[in-house]
Amino acid sequence: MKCEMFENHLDGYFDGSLSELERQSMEEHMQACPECRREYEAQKLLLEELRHLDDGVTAPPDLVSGAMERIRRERQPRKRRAAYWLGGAAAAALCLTLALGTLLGGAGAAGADSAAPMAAPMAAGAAEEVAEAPAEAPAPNALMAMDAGADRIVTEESVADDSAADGSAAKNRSAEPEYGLKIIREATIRMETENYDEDMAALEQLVSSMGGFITSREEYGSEQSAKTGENPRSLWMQLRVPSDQLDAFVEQAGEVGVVTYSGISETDVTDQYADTDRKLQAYQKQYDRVLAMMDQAATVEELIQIESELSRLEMEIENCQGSLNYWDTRVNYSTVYVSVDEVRRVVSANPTMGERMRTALANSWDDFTQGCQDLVVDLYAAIPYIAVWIVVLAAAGGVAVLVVRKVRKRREK
Amino acid sequence: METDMLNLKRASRGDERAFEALITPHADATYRLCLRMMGNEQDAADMAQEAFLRAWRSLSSYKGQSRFSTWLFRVTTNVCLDELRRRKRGESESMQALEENGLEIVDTGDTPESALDRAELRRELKSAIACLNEDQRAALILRDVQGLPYEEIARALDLNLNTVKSRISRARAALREKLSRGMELSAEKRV
Repeated sequence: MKCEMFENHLDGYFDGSLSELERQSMEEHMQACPECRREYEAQKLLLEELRHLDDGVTAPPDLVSGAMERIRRERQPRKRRAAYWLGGAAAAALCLTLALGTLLGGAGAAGADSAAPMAAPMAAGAAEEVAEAPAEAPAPNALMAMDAGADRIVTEESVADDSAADGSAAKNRSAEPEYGLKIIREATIRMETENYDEDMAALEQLVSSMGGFITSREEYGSEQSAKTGENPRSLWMQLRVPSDQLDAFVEQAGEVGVVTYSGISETDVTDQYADTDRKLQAYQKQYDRVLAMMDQAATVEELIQIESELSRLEMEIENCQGSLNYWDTRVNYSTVYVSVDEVRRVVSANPTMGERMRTALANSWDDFTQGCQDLVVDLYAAIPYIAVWIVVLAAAGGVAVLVVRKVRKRREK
Repeated sequence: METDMLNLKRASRGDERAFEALITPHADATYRLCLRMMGNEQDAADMAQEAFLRAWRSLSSYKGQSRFSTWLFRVTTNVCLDELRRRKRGESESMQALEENGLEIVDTGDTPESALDRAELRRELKSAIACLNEDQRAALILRDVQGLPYEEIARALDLNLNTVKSRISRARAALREKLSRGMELSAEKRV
């Protein structure tokens, strides 16, 4: 065996994919060639180290919960509508109490005044939940006035709420209003369709008509297998639409297929943006100062030092600029994740009471069938035991019968 | 396995708790994969979360054609690769400079006193992995750190088997060279 061949076979040796003969000739070669022996030792060490490289490394404890938190936040819109109604109901109750109090107590203006500060936090509490509720959510007529008040509080409250997570944010925001809020909005849409090709074309048309573009796309299944119903097609794509078109896009995409799930998530990057921008300005000032030193440099060494400082600053500036550009594009262009499943008959629609009942029933049916299957499997697995027990019991029974007969015979005698 | 199937069914119907139950057993492995791909803990945690989120969003594309963990690793690897490529595009020059510096630091090997002990070896190995190109790195990590069979890696990365094998082989050779150079250096020092 040649050294070159040895090297080629090295991976196979450790993966166990070589024939016995090949292994043997490699081992022989190793005995004779210290060079290859070293190569072998290095590979062995490498693989062993790699296998244990991350031993004992565990995920941070909040990894899964953090991800789940983000997933839930994505679904929030539906829940928020419920909160909206709850908040509305609470406000209505308050109004009623107020009115009653005014009527009964006859305290008039004084009563209303003292009640007003109470109303505000209540409304704010409700508003916090409603912060991102779609504008078209119906507002009960009686609460129109209340509603306008709540709306105003909404914006303040949601700002305070977001910044609570990041400590000092509230200050920054009032100090630097020039960016406005930098909010990245992303949407997820899942839909089912019976007319896959048509609907896909419609969807693509919609994307381009709104000035958006598709950034990645994965398709599974084929038209042919879809016809038999065995392997329906499905599509996953990621696309970008101008963020001011996002709501319109989600709405219109909903008319293309039957939406089984849609959600919009929002991430506020205003703080990071502001921080980076401040950093950028600081670096730029520093750059200018260092540049000015260039003229005063007396020696070559000084010059070199200045050069290297300049290039370091340039890199920092580029980094900051890059981050800002990245956020800007993400803020201006929303990412939309669309997944489409081809179905022969669309079953799911917007979740209604009936839909949920059906899902619940389907879940427990799954449990039930699973349970039945488990039972059958367990019974099947128990056959050897049962067989042994039958033999043992039969033997015991036989003995018992014999004994009884004997006793009877003896008595008869 | 059975409960996995149940949870999978439920999760694809939009049941978050089922999804949580589905991913929790793979949290450590997902995180480790991200850690090796990204090279630092902060990025690893971010990418692992991102991976779970993408898995949730694209759950309907999982058709049971492979084990769930394989599919999850595929999603995770792609999330990391996307991020790495995005960064590369954004700051290709500075990244390159950084990589070159990184390489240099690894290559000199003359830093501490002689013997190449285990901890040091691991450190070198980690930075050597970080210097591989991301495609080789992904394949190597899945095979040699995560211990997936070649076939599953091929499926996870959407490559054919031979490409996977040759990528892994090349990655190993690069690491081996670095390691044996390190060993030689330390041996010379000891003499």
